[in-house]
Amino acid sequence: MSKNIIEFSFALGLFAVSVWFWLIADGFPVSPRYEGIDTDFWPKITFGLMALTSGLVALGSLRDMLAARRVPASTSVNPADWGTIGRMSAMGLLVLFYFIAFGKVGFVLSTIVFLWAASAMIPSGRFWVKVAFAPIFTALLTLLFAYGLSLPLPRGVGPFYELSLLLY
Amino acid sequence: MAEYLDALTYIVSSPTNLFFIVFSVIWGIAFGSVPGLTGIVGVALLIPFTYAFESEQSLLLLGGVYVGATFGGSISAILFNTPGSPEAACTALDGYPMAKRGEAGKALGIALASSAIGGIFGTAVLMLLAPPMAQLALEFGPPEYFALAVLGISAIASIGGGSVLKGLTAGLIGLGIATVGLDPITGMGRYTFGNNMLLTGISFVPVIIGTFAMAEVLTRVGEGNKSSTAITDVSTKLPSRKEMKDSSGTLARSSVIGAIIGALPGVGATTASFISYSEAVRWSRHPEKFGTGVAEGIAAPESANNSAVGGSMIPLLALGIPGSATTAVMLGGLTVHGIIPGPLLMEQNTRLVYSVFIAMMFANILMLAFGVRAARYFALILTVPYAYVGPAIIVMCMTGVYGLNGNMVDIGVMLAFGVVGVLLRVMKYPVASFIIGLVLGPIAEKSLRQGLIIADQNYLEFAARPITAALLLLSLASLLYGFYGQYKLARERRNATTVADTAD
Repeated sequence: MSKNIIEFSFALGLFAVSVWFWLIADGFPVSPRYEGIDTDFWPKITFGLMALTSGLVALGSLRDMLAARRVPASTSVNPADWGTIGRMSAMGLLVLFYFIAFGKVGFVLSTIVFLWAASAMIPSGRFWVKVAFAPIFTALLTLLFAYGLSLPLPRGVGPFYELSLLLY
Repeated sequence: MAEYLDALTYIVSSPTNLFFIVFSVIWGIAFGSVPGLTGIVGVALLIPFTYAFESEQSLLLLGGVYVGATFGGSISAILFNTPGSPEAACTALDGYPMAKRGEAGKALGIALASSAIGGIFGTAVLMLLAPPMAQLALEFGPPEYFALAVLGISAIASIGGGSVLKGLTAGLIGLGIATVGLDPITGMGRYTFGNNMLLTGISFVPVIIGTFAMAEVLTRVGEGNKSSTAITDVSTKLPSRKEMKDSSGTLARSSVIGAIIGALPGVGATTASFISYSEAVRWSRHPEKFGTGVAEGIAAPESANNSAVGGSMIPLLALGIPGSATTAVMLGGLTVHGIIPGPLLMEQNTRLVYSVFIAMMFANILMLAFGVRAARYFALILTVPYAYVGPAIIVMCMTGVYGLNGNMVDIGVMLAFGVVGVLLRVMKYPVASFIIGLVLGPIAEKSLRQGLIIADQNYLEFAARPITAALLLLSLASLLYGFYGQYKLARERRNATTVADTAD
């Protein structure tokens, strides 16, 4: 897939979203008192301009895409790019699981497991340091937040809540 | 004078305040020195923590981080040839060649001394200009504020370095997101899709942390293992009196340029450092030596970008308009404490404002002390594997955002904007424009509509006020300059392609 196609699709997506939001603004309730500067006034300016600029970006990408057809190899997404997307997606998924566990399991357990998994996913550092880093960092952060700054930390639900109560 | 004495007494009477200044400078240098983390991430990550402190202490912390991070970027630029922050990009041009010659300590020393001089100059300008400017701003009406906001948005779109259209689009995305929630004039809900939680709008701090910190980690993880050569065995050597005298012209010129450019809404330290560098080349007797490791090539960008720190605080504190992406993030930090920066802040909360002035002065002096002794230790940060740094930042993002209100929705917002941040980066839409748009959106909207109400919807009367007209013309000039730059770049590229085709 060409990079230009991705750029074009993204700009086109932004164009579509801005048109959609402009149409939503068009349906906002109006009041005669504020005629001319009503609720829809600013959103219509913003999304109208956004449709214009993103449309121009899309046209520019389309022009580049057509021009690049002469040298397709230079603009195609190479295996390294797919690797980047894969690594980013994997970390994104892990963060999503962490987010779910953060509320359900509580701060301490979810964080330790997340740090182990995330550090294992990134290929640098020593194994034993990674193993030790997760609980030490979590303990320090718990101390800082719960005791030093008296800020809330999630405690989880059910048995995890009981466990968290013992810690902070 | 009484305000300064009161603020000084407030700072020195509490060891916590002094500790905060020291801590913030260290934190800032550490974040500035790690490529990709930048001062913005350092400031954004600290915001939730400041919730537990007084508003004065919070601003001391954030101001100190900004000062420290701007210098910190030069450490990795010199030793690693990878600028820790965009404003240090210019420093690498001469810093790294000098370091490769075996003069890394000297390069760091020049960067440090220049940063301190520029920083102190910028803070002095801030002290001198912010109060009268705030006084002048009291005369500003909604049209002037609208024009200032427009100038901020247009400037960052034009001088972002990439495509003007993409910069503008990113700014407009920010403006669009700022429209979510209750209309500031009519009180009607907008883009809430029936969700009552969206009536209050999208929380600013989770958006900042998501688009900067979270997106940065995801992008870095995506890049995989990047190996580069770092020079970590160094000892900082401050320049001699003669060397300082030789660079005095460059230092003075760059500090002035930095303070002026920093004070322009939307334009930041990066632009200041590049302009100062090109001016240093223009004024030099040996312009051909730039890029090979000359002292002036380090002194110019470093004094300018640190001077711009003080400069960019002027519009923030005096007008409530951020002068850079970092001050836009700081604005978010202030709102956490219910502080609205602007001319009234100078009158109603003098201690807070003057404490920041003094703290930033302290921070610049401290930076000099730390830099001499600790640059080598900060350089060691560069050797810490990202397998620890990246996940730790994610945990701090999650914990910090949760700590704001104790709810998971904020974390959801942060994660969603983390994805938005990654998309913007990958598609080369400047994230800074997005944040500036998000910050300036409500100011621009409210002042435009209020101004039109006052002017009885007469657009000519609205725009014909002298300051408004001047600022709007400046915005237009800034946009045209950006478009011209893009046109020139496209023409150069086309010429290069033609030459290559002819050669084939």
